[in-house]
Amino acid sequence: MFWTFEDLLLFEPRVYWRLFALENEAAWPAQPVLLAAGVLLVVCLLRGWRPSARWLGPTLGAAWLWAGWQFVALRYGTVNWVAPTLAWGFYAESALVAGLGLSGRLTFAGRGRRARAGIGLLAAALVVWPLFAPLDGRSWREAEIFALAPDPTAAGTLALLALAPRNRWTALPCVAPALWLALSALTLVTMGAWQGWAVLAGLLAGLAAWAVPEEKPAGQT
Amino acid sequence: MRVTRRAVLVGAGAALATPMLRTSAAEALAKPLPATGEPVPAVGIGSWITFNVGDDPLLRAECRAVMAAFFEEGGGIVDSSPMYGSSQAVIGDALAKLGRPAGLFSADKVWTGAPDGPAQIAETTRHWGVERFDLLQVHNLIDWEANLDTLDAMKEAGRLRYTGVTTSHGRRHEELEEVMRRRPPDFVQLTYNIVDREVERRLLPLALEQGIAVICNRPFQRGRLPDRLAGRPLPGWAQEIEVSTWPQFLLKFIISHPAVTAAIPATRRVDHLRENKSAAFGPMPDAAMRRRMAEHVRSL
Repeated sequence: MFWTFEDLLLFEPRVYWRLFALENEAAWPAQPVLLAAGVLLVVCLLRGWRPSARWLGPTLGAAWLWAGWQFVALRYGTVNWVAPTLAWGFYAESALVAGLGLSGRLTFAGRGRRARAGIGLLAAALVVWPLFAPLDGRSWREAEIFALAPDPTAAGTLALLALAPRNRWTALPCVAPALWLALSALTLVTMGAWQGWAVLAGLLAGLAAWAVPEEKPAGQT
Repeated sequence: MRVTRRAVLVGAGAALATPMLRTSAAEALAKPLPATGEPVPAVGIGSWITFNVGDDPLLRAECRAVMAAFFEEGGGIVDSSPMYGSSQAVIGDALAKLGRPAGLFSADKVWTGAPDGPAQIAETTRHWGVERFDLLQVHNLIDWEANLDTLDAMKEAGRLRYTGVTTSHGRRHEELEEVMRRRPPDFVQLTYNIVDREVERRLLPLALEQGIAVICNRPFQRGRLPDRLAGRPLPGWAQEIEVSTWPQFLLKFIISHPAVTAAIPATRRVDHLRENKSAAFGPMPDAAMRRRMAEHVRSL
């Protein structure tokens, strides 16, 4: 007999989903504020406005810090002893996006189909992700919210990086979200949760959006 | 007092020869430990996955209800490990809130290299809130010689009652056999159920020969066996051993083996716990019936 990923799964699905209920209860009323801010950001992006990375980078960093510390380390860590170690990846990503934004190496000025793909995925991370719980027949209390829960935070980060230039500096912050989404998809699929396939779709969409070649400005050859 | 090898073999032979091992309708099957003769209820409870519910007060209350029912049904072995996430803390919390009920046979494990063993055992003891454990086992044979040194020293000093070594999923049986031959602990824990029967060939006979108690994990293959059998009718002859559900059928098969001391099914449901415990009542299958049971399940 060989070890399978299922053998390493330490908890039942209901225990995992309840972690979001506990997190949402503790963070209330941050959820409506975060959702409103997220929807406002998407609308502004659709209207052509592009945010400065000098504030969006640190803001994204704060989201990673919060999701990593409050959810992954402190809450997920109560049922998965690997989680506090995984949280270090969140802290590193937090420092990276904040540092790149403040240093000017990261911009969110992209336009064209690559940026549109990113905005679409960002809308999904902000608005569709919280619907997974009720679509699964579970309580709204278990909704996964960007900046509080790790999956939408990772998917939303990949989405925003599709608005950044495609270079090694913007490739680097793709690593942690991609790895987290891959691990999360594997965990959820092993748990028998259909959301695992949605997370995998989010990961592939994010990587595809980032990989779309940048369009050159009109007139440039 | 260690019960002699001869006495155990005679007892086992009697169990095999007797057409049907019968417990009284009112009394659950409890098996004597080879090391001391102390009777231990044949159905205990495991905590892998089911009790790993973190700090969630709602889910902890559910676990506590299962533990309360376990002690109402006579108690027995409660088994955990540092590997099982928050399970130890959940058990400790339940024991404290239930007022440290009688009937607990506390069993946990050391799951680290020997140098860190004592610190881990201290942490485990703190989680459970017990003065001393009935049984501490070397989890999955990790650094087993040195860890057994630690456990033996604790037993010698009166800080532990029994020592053990565990494996699961049918792995590392050759190494476990070496431990049982070279340095027999009081207990071994291994995977044994109606379809995973490899241990019947060497390890269970060796346990009888060496006077080692046996705890069986994964009695339901993590719920797969009852799921697979659900909806199928029990064979008519199952009435002879007073079985009315598949989980009872599966558990009676395990605990009726002469070498087996206890099975430790894990559950988060009170009704399942009571159903599991009920398997320790009434007549137990003899060797011929056990063969018939295994063949029947294989044929489904």
